[in-house]
Amino acid sequence: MTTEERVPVLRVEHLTKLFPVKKTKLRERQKYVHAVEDVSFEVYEGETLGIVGESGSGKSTLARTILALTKPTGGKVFFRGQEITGFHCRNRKQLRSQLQMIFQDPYASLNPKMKVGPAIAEPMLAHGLAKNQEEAKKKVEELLRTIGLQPEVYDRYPHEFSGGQRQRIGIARALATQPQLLFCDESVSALDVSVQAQILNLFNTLKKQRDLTYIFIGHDLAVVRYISDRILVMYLGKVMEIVPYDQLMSPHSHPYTQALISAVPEPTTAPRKDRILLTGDVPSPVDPPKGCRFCQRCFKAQPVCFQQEPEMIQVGPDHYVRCHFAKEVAQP
Amino acid sequence: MKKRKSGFYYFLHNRNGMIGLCGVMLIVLIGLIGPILIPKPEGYSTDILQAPSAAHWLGTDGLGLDIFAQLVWGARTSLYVSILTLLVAAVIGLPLGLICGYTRGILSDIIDAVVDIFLTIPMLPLTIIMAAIMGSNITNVALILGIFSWPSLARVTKNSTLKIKEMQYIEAAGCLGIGKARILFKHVLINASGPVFVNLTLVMASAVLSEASLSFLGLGDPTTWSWGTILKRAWSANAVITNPNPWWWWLMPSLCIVVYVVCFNLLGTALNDTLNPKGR
Amino acid sequence: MSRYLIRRILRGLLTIFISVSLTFFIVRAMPSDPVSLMVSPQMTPEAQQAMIEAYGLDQPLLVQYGKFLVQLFQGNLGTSFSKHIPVTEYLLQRLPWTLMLLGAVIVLVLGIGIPVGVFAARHRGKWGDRVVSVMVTLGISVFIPFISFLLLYLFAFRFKVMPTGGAYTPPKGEGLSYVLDVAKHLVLPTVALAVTNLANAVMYTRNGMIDVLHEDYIRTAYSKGNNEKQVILHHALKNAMIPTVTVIGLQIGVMVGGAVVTETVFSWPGVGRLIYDAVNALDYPVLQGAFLLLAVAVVVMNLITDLVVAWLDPRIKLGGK
Repeated sequence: MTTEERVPVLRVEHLTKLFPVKKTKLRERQKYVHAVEDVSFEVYEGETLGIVGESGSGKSTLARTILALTKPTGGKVFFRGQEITGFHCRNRKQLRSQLQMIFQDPYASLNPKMKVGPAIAEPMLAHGLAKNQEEAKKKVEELLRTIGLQPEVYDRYPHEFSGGQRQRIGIARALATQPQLLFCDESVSALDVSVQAQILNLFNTLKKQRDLTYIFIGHDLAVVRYISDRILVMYLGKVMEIVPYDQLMSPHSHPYTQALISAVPEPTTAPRKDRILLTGDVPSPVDPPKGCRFCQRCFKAQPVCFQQEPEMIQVGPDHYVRCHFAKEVAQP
Repeated sequence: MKKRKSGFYYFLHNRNGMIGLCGVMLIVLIGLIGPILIPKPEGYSTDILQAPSAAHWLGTDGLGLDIFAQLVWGARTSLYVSILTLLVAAVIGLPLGLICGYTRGILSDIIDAVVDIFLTIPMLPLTIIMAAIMGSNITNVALILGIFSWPSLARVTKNSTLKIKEMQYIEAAGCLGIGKARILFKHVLINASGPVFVNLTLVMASAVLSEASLSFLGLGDPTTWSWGTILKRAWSANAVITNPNPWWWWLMPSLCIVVYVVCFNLLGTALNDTLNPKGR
Repeated sequence: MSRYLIRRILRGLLTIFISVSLTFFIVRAMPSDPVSLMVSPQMTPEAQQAMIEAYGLDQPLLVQYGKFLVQLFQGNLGTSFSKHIPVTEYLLQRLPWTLMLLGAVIVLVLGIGIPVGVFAARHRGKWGDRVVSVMVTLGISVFIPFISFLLLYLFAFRFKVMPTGGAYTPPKGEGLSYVLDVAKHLVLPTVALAVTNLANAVMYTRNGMIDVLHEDYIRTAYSKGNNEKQVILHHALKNAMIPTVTVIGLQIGVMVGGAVVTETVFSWPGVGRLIYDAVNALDYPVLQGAFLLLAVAVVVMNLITDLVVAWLDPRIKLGGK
């Protein structure tokens, strides 16, 4: 596919979310947590965009801000060309069905006092996708089969299921509204590794069956890489790199991405030679560093990195890097 | 899949909870049926200060009235006060607590501040002043107790709502496009109700303690029997330190009060342990 | 810290102001005539007129409210119906006795409640813990007149080791013998009033201690080679006490209510007993004044516990919750 043919489903422009910090002294300047700052990207029809970053990098807040679960501080969001920032538009209800989210914690994201069937039927009835209880029940049973559960579980409570089964229920619930764009917020992080693989495969199958577009958020590059077509790397609320799947190993990659890649365990017994160890802690998102966000921990850092924040530089087709030295390839 | 077990199942298997529940049911039965079978003790008789016997199961007081009959009639008063207090407290406290927990803004801040202050003010002295001015009447007493019991209920409701509101499944419901009213009633309220039920049992228990204290201080209803009134009379007659000691006169009503409160506390603790899945 | 303190002080002042307003409007909202509630029928007509003017009882409600606040600010709470002396003077005579009783209760609660709670936590699930937990269940359900009667019956009537009531044996003695006499009279009321709070303190210390003993830093402390006593004293206790002290602070209002009953049973000459006497004499000015005094006492004691909690919990100094 070339760039001209692709249709962006979702376009995010300069999205920013700041959380005010509670003041501790009587007279003090109001400070903010810079959770998401000046984030711009596009998601194309039918692709899976992975968003990866350490905890606290603002990935989840980004998803929540796009979905208007929290108010954006600035920036714009477009869905199929229409501005939907904060869902302040007339077709808000329709949007709620078209954009869906699968949550991180399969234990916390289901109402413990509500049976599984009615929980899945609830959004169907709310969006008029089923006219009455019987129709909803029929559709729910069908959906349960699709995601690999017995229809008999309709009358059971969430606490009777394992983590993997619950996550399937969460997926069924999100699919109940027949969404087009699905956010998966750390959707497999809480699961055992063997179950993770099952759920990831389920995601892939559903994508083909239902023509879904995914935004897949995770902290584990190995998992995100497995499912994504393109990967967006976040650090301290800012986009560090947007890179196609096959360019991940490119020498132009951001030093932070390189560090993340080197941390992915390889199935080999040969000694690892090029592990990049990051030193220092993640700086506070209340007082981010003045220059490049990553300067304090970067192994390539130069004085300029501490002074001036780099712009996003295009280094290849669909490949953007926020680094002063992105074009200079270190000679091995 | 794990075996299906509801909170109700765990409650039925909680020994303390069942003791509390049986005790509460027994008290309700005595309070409802007892006064139909046993005539109201009134006036005076010549059987003064008799020890427990076949004729007077728990003895008689200084006026020669049967203690057992007084206690049965007192159970009805205690129930009446508990329930009326509970209703008043619930009508004021539940909606205010919900508003305070579910919404954000000036109204919620004001409710919060008022609750904070009411929880600090020493309630018994204030109740005494009100009862002294309004006059001793069992309904008045219950109304006053209800008016001063709502803050703790509102606080518990608020905290519970606040906690549930932050749960991921509430955000998930919002994300799924489910209506606000439905989220409040179907998702928030149902899950927030556990601690609220517990607090309701505590309100009922402390209503009886407060009523007994008021009666004991001479602010009870002189036309109605209550456990506090019996104690007040025993104390006025120096029953605790006279010789020979009419122990049944002061001990029996005290035991009734303690049993009543212990039963409600046991019930409340058991509800708390079993409605909260973590406590099982 | 300064922000936290100022907020607490402001809240205390607001509490006192609301208590004042509540008493004012409760008295006026009742169907009975405020003149009959504030002015004794036994006073001379001139004295009655003076009271009516001082409080503006014949004027509109808001004017009355203003005058009431002004009088209050000057420390004038009216004149007692029964004793014919200023209420303020009457109250101040009684206040030290109530403070003495409450102080003794708090010492008892902290001195016994915390060690017993720690003991129960260390022997969690064993018979010692079970006995403690039964006592706690009974303790939080206890009715003050009942425990008072039981104490009186056992120690004053059966064994005759304690006095039946009052604060000292008349005639008032002097020096050490007087102090010992008062201390002896103080024992039973203190125990009676302390039981509920003691049960609460034991319960919260035990639960707090159990929570804290599971924390990582306790394991670290053990692995550094400290013995159990050192770990509990230096690492666990301070954190475990935070909920205990917080609850004691919240219970002070209830404790003061209990003091009314306790002082009544034991004829302890404090503000609580004063309330009982005032109820029976229908001495409304005294009732109102006593309530205000108790409200102020509660606010001050709350402030003290807030400070203690802030000292125990460094997070509060940083402004968090």
